[in-house]
Amino acid sequence: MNLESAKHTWQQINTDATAQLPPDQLQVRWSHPALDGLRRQLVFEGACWIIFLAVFYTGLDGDQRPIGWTVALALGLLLLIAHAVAGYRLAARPIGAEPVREAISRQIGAIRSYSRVSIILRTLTLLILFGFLLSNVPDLWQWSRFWVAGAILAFTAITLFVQFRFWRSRMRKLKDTLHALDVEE
Amino acid sequence: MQSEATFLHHLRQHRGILVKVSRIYADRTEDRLDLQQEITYQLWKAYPSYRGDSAFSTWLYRVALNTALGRFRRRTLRLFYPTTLPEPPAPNNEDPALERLFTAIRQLPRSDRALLALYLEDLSLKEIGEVLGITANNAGVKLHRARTKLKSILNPSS
Repeated sequence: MNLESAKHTWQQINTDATAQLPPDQLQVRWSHPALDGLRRQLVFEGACWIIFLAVFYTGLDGDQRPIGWTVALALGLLLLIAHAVAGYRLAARPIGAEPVREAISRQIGAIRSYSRVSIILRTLTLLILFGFLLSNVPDLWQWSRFWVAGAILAFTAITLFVQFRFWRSRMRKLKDTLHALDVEE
Repeated sequence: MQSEATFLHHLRQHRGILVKVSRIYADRTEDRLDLQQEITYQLWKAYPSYRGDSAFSTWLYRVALNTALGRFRRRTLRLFYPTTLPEPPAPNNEDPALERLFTAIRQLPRSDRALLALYLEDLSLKEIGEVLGITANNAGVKLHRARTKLKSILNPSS
């Protein structure tokens, strides 16, 4: 196939497009499947956090723990809910009609900011949760119990690493495309 | 603010661009339909900013490519367990040359696919550069390479 016939084949699609689309795709919906899925996930996650927020004080003996840890954990959970809402807004944000290079660059910037907040917030909340759970353990700071601190730090480091890899893989394709457009030939 | 009816009219006229962009950036039919829906959503969001400075098709290409290239969430396979056997697929009436062309383009890097889509649409180098945000000269050089790659995939023996 030569490129002139490829052009002809390509441009033929304009006239046949309606026939290639199933009827439900001809109806315009002001949402899209990824956003619908994200909305369901957001409702589920938000509900879980709110339930945890409502029961952790009584369920985990909050009255016997230092008030500082309790407030920090409640704040961390509230910030996680707010962050989940921000994630939905990021997915729903208009991508715009600016040139592709600028749009991808802006998209990478938005995802990078969100991922940084996400990693920091999840790691901090995890550490606060551990702090809260261990806050009324007697004699915690004895040598014989230092393995607990070691295990917590190792677990936190692993979750940090997994989150970092997750976001890096999400951004890789975008960065590769931007790099390919950026290189002057 | 432009009206919804005008938007839908424009969209139906240029629906082919959604089909083409979804076919060069998604391998599976369900993903293509999802991408078309996502592009439609983004077009509606961007529509108030459309001033008519460029052709609607060029503007639509920009939004469609921004949407396809800007996706960052991993697609997941949807599993379902039907209770009855599905009907055999309907005979494919599509031009085999078209399927071959799309398959060949999907083998190229994502930025090359955008360049080739605009080239096959018969846009000038200046227009291609404007859509992608690069100079016409740079678009020309990159397009030359992308065309060579496409030719070698379409005609492996030559």
